[in-house]
Amino acid sequence: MRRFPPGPLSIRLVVTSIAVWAVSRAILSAGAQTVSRQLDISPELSPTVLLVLALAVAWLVLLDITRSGERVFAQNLGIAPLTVMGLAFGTVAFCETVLALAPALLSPLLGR
Amino acid sequence: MKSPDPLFVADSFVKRFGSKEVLKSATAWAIPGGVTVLFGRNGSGKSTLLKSSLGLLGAESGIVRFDGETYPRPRLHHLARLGLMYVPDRGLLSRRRTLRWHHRLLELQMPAGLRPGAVDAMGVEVLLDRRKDQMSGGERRRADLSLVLARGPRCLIADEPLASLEPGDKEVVSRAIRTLADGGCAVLVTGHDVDALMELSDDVVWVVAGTTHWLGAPEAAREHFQFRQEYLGSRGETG
Repeated sequence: MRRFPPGPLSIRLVVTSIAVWAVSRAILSAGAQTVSRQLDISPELSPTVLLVLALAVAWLVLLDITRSGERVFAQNLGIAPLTVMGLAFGTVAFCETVLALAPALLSPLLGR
Repeated sequence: MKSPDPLFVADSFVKRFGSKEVLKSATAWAIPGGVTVLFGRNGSGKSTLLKSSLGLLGAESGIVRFDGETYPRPRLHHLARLGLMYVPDRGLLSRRRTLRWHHRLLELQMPAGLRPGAVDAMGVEVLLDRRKDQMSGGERRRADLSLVLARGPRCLIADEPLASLEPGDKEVVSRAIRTLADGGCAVLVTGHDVDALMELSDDVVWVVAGTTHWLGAPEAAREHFQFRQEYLGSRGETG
């Protein structure tokens, strides 16, 4: 079977996902105390909250594509809707992992 | 059904919306080198059959056969990789993107096998930098067909490709579909434009009461008493 690479549509999705993730992450970080108090969760649970948020973002991206009529066009190019959502979700998860590991990775470089 | 064997078959589809059974047992196909036309009244289930067979709508039952393989759960993106292209009634274009963006995306996604000259053939050079909402209905259809011609699919499924087109655009779009079929593409279309579609078709299928009836070649279809009485009306008498 002939397979096609993810291509530019996917790149746009990834970029959109990063942007939305960065904004939501900044809001959550800035108001972590408020969020944990409001939602009655401990700050340690924030990764879970972020994960749920990431999924919501992925769905929003997919919904946006559906509304703008790009979904059928993307499918005609051999791109599965779940792949689209997976890409968005995967990007968010990747960013979150990098952020979590960054202090440990950067500490030797910073000499701390 | 006549030879050669169909490339695409949507077989025995059943679809309900709540308690209403729209499709009781509907079957349609697309034969390489030919154009199959699905006729039927509004709400008869033509579009539902197409969407169900491409996985865009869930169906109670029904299978798709494509190129000899059977797909109990067909998916458009999967069939697209095998060479199928679907043009919905509202068209292919995103309302936020220019036609040039669509062509560039097609080129980037499918660099091998794109056919040159599609933009010229459909006369859409002047539309390349326009978005969907900046085009007329006829221009949109020509833009859609320019993408189809560029892709050069093995099978084209188009929902009402001639709807609401002025005669000039209708002729251009019909000619493009005929050219595709003459090049070996298997085409399945729906519509109400009896004269234009009869001229375009090699095979006529009538969707009525949730089932499909094969009427054969357009000449035979025009002679079919019930089809004439219930669908063609006065057009049947002049044919």
